[in-house]
Amino acid sequence: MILLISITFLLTLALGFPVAFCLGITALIALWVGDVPLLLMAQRMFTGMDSFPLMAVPFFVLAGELMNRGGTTRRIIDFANILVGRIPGGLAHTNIVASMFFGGISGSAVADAAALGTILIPGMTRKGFPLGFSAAVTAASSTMGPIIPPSILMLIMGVSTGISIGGLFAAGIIPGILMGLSMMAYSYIVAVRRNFPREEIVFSLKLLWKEFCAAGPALLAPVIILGGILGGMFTPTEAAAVAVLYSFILGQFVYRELQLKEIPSIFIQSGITTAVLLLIIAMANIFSWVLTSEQIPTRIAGLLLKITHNPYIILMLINVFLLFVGMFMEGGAAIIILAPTLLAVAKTVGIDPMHFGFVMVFNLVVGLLTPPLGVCLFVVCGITNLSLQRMSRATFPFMVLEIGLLLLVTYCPAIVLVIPRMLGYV
Amino acid sequence: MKTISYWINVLANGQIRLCSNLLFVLGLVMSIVILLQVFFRFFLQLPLPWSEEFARYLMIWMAMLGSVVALRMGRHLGVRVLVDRLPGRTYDVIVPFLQLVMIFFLGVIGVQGIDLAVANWDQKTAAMEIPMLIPYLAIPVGSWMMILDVVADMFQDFFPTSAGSNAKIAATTLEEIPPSTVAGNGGTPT
Repeated sequence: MILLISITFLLTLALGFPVAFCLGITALIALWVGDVPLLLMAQRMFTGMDSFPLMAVPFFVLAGELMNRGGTTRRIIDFANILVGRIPGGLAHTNIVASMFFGGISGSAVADAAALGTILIPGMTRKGFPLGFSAAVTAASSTMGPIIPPSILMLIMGVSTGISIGGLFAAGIIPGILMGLSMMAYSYIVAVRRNFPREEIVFSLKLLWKEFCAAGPALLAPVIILGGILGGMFTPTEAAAVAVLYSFILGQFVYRELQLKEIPSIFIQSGITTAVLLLIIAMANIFSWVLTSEQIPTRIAGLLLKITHNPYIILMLINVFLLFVGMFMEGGAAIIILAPTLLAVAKTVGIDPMHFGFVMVFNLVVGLLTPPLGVCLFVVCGITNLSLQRMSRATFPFMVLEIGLLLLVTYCPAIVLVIPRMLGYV
Repeated sequence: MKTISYWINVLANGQIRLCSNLLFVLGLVMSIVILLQVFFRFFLQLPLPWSEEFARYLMIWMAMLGSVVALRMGRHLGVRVLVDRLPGRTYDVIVPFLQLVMIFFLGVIGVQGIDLAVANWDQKTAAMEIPMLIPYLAIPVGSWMMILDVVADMFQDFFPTSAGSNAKIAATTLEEIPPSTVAGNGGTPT
């Protein structure tokens, strides 16, 4: 049965079916072979989507879209540019820092890559950066989106395992900043060695203040979202709805770049994006039922625990496994299907659930950069017309960097857990 | 055949317009309901009993109707690395097979979704006490509409008409990306 499921899934994926359909069709065949009433499919789809915490997804998507069309992206980029543009490799650093700010507003790497890439990649190539490097920086830095809170992957993790979503958000702060700093360090080395240009801005406190004032209201958004959740005022869903209202007010009354006649199309676009994600989640719920009924997760767990009870080795095995899974499966689907089982294994050997949840999210974030299903690569390929091969090769050093960071957060739980501990989540 | 193809595609386009308008309404109402929930709980200390449930069911309808639009526009996420490499017209030969599998799959969901909705037609939801039929119907309705999407695409492939869509079965990205801006005139940071 395991063989049937894996072959069907990989075959449907290779044939170019939408991911949601790959999951659904595989589940259908397994259920049919196993002679299970198919009513279960509709049932599982419904219960999979019928979740209040999950509703933060459409709201975060919508808030991101409103910010983007309301002139926020450009102001964030300008502010990042004045902060770090004069370092050798100027725009690369601007790109990374803007991604960090953006990550604090949107919860998705894809939105980040699309919004910043369309502006910054042309900007970088015009200044003389090689196209491959510009594309790689954009794709890699966008993966900070789901690490720096808020994060759609963390939401799904919380929904499917019961780990506190607020706690996971808090866990992402330090690793997210480390990610940004290490990418800047790498870009600096490359920039010095290959003599990349930097921005020639005459720096003055007055200019900094001006750009800060322009970007300030946008930078306040993460404070409202995170502060509201971590302070216990809102649930993540409510915070996301407040972020929608805030980004609307920002675009409409503060920056005044949002046109009312654009509003319906913003809702429709974000509705489509939401639907694609939710359909994958719904289908992953059928798929995960099939796996559970075949006791495949239990067997994987048994296998892992038979090899060792050493938490360090278990974490290493899980990391390798998840990096592999991340190549073929969409992150949210992978969490729904695998997180409950792997969490049980982690608990058995005494790994902190929140630490484990974060490490799993981090793994799948690296998966955003690994082909054949590397969603962030796809976005940037779409912007630049680079082939997936060239794109993956250009991004490779950043991927190695992220795997290094993955090892760091895996084996130094303190980095992950210090803020959740301070806030009383652990 | 050409006429049938044309009208089916016109129908599919109409369906997309309808779903798009509904997506706008659903998204707007959902946002307002949750903001009201925050307002009532936070400022009036008077939690609304129905808001959460109502918004949840709106989201399920949003997911299904949004999927219909996404399918017509080819916006569902998929892996295209391999199929795009197939030599010559091989992929064109495979496509009808993929479409038939999708129709079959959606048909199963559509039939089972109706069964599920009918089996629960006299149940009432917990908070609003409306029939469970209403939220449950999202799944079969969405599935049948998606079947129409795929059928219209099949007709379009064999009998191209002006009403058809040229979207592929799946896109590689979630967001709609403006066509190559690198050579063009994207904005520059200061």
